[in-house]
Amino acid sequence: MSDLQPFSLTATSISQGVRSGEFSPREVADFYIARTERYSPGLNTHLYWDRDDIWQQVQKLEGRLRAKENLPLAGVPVLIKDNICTKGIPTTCASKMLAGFRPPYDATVVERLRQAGAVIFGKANCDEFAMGSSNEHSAYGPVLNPWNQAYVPGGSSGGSAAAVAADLAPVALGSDTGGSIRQPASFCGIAGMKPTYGRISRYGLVAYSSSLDQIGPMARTCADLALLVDVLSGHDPRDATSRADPYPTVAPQLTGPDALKGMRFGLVQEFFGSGLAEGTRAALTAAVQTLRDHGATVQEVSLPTIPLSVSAYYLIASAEASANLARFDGVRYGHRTSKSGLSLKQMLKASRSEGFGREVKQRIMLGTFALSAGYCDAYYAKAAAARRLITADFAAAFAKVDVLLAPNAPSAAFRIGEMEHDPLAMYLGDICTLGVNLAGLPALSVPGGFDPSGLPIGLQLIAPAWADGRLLRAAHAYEQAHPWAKEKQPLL
Amino acid sequence: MVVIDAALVQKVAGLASLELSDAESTYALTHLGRILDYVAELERLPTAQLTALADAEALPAFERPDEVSLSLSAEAAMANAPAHQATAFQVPRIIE
Amino acid sequence: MVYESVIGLEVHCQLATASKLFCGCSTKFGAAPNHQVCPICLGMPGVLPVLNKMAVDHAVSMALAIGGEVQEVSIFARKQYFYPDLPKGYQITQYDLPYCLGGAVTLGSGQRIALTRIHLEEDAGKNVHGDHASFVDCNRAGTPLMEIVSEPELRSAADAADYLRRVRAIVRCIGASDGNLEEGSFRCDANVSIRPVGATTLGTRCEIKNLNSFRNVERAINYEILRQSELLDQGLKITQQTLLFDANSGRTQPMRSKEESHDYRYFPDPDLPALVITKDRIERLRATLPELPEAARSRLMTTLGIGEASAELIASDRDTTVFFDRTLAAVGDAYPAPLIANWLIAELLPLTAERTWPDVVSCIPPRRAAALLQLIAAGTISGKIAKTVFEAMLASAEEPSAIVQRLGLVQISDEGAIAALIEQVLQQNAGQLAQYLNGKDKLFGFFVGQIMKASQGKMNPDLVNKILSDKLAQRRG
Repeated sequence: MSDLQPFSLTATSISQGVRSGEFSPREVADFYIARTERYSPGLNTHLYWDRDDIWQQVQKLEGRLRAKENLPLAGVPVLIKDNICTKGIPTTCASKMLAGFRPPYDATVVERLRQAGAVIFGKANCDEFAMGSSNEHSAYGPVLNPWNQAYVPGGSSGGSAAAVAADLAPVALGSDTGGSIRQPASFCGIAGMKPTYGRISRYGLVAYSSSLDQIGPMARTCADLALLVDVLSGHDPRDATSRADPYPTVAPQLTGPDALKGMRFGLVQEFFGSGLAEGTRAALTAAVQTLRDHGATVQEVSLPTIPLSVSAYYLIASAEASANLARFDGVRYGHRTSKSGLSLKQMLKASRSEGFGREVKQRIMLGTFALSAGYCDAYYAKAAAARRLITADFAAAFAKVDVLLAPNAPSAAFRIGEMEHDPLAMYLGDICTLGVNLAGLPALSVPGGFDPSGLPIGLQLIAPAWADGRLLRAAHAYEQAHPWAKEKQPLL
Repeated sequence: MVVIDAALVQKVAGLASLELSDAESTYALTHLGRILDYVAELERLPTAQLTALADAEALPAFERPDEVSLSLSAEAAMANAPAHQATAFQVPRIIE
Repeated sequence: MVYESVIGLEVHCQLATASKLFCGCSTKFGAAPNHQVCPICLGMPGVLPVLNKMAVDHAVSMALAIGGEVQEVSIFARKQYFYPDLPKGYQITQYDLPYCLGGAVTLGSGQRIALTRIHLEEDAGKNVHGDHASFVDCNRAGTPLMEIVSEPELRSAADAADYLRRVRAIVRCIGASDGNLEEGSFRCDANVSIRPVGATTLGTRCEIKNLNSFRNVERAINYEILRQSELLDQGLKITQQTLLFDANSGRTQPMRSKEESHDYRYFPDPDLPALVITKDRIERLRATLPELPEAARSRLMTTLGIGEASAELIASDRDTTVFFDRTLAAVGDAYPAPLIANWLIAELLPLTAERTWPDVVSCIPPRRAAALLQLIAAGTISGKIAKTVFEAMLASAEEPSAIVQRLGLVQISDEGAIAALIEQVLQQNAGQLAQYLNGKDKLFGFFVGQIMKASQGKMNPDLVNKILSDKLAQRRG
């Protein structure tokens, strides 16, 4: 229906509109199908697309609506990051290792989305096996930033972020192990949230680093994040790390800018050193002013051991990844070398070496080394010690403030290819986001302005474990106080 | 801490069942070397007990009842298999 | 040179759960390849393990049965190596912090063998080898295992076999495992080294893997001891290696694939919380433990006066012990316990070679066995006739007394009739009688045989003996 305008719909408004009959799920689907088919090839946001499947889903949904089922996400298109398993639909993790792999099951989050009436709207490109901060490490080509296609969208959930930023879908699922939702959300001018570790089931998320990974929503508004978090949250008996005790829903906790009154914010001073780009510093400063204008207090806080987070993260994440990726051996599924006459051992080596990209191999090497005999105490064990110190620092900070503030990255998006020669520099850029995963805390990025060249900058908010409601309430309040996403849209 | 040399890179690659091209080995040598130099900052920290009791106790224990649930059909199990004979995965002959 | 053997055993024992350790697939033996698998035990991307409560209960019961210390908190670890039958490229096991430390098993000789530890882990799948390819079946992958590790305190192959039999008896008694070596639910690896008698340091040890019968355990260990002794006698060194036992040649052979030592890169599995075993749970499980083989053996010997060999045999299997106790209860004072034991061992136990215990019990429930024994006790039939009755009992549901009546097997205890028949037999065999009276005592048995033949075995053998003795003595004058 031509009434539907780009950048005007949200998951919240779609589900309300579909349930009230204001528009049909078919109209919504066709609107987003048209946008996707027009813009996704240029941005390379999608790894799997099947509009017949979408129409079939819509047909089934229409039956459920006629049967008056209660569907909180009725008709909402949701793009799924390609490291999340979708039954019968290729799930490649942006790797040659899983080219054509069709999981025989849906991830729990996908089951919950379907149950809630959402329409699964294709699979999003990402960094291979979620390892990367720029979406330049996909085996299927990089994703481009819709705001400036010479720039990266961020990673690893670059495809999800770019698609939502370009309004190819109102919401998408990403995953965040060291900032992979927040940083691309920041680079693409949208909102993205990593919930508390254990809030959303990891069953069906292809594991990168098991103690750090979380699935989270990406959208243009905080209300949409909350809507999705409530649908996706909850204990899953198939995930022993998902919390079993009940906890409150988050959406009801969102009010408006008045929630900022009396809220105590802490600015993490370790992120405001000389490495921070001027544009980012300015955006954060302006955000602080907005918060104060609405009655919040903002003070400086210190997380003295947070500079250790790059070392701790890369050792722990690589170690866990090296084990998690050991299952990719070409025996039961996935890429097997086509070279003939190989012994079993040779076949395993060749399959793995052909199937994995360079960055994945390097992280497997680092992780294997960190766990190996003679080095494990020096590396992996030390990283675990650092992790505990960082977690303690956050806890101490939350004794003084309600929510922490930080950038998501030292700058706005960088140029494609700019960081290729210096992987370590790319790793160091993650310093603003890694600590949150090490401590298992909820955090999100909400649009917070633009740098002088017009690239988006996001404001990162961090809350204590299980205070996801407080986090969204604060973010929503800020968003209402200054709705950056409404001011500008990317020109496609 | 440790000095990364070509032999160590080969050994680690072997443990990870990876064969690196010459270019990849050279890259690994540089890349790993730089990262390990960087993470040397952790040296001054006291070693955590890898038993990780503190981390482990952070997650409440969880067990499931001993109930048989529906498995995959053997066909579904073979559906993604690169090579199989009937319902068994096929690999090059293992020499023991 | 005289050497002392130093043997330690590692038993991998499959737990008797319906589903696997970390997923809901069935653990039933014998399914067609990959018919009992799911994304989790296939190690597909995105899946997660969730611990089976019953497996933990069995494991704790075992720890209690062998007097081990159950750890309140233990950790699952990933043991990493690449092999086609290991779907995830790592095995979930316990390394630094197992759930049970210590414990002991006492051998028949009275020697107490200390245990190092017991831990929980998942089993791997199976590789089957063809001519030009190998085939992987993941049915067994993920089956729960207990790994029971003994201290190297065994000193002979015979002791090793005895230790294994006792461990097996315990796991079967508490229902933790069916302990079936042939089906692979009870597998043993033996660590063998030797040293000069009196030495305190350990020699280089070799590990013999996957021994699949008690006999092969003994044969393999004995061969290995010999092999190592010969090497040392020649002044050569023992190389530490992993070996397989070739049952055909009776020799141990090095395993080719295991030559390099593995770096398993153990670390705590981040997908699994710590295993927390509360004191409440321990006490609840302790309260449900049945009488253990050692206690049963003691009771049979001390309270019931049964001989050691018979007590061993009955106590080593819980089904047998339960059957014995129920039969004893049904028989009451009518028949002595040691004789019940003898009958059970001679007549009933052989049935279990071909049939399962439930089959045996439904055919011959304790009450019915007791009825037969009461007939013997009352002198209605002799022990020998009882065998005939028992065979008939296997074929029909008739009461033993009815069978005796129908087949006319009632024992003849009429002394007059017996005396008359004996006279008849003696007269018919005058030649042998003369020889007997001249001193050929052996012929007593001949007369007994003739009497039994003439009476179709129905004469009370004790009375026959007594009266025959009297008569012959009389004749000797």
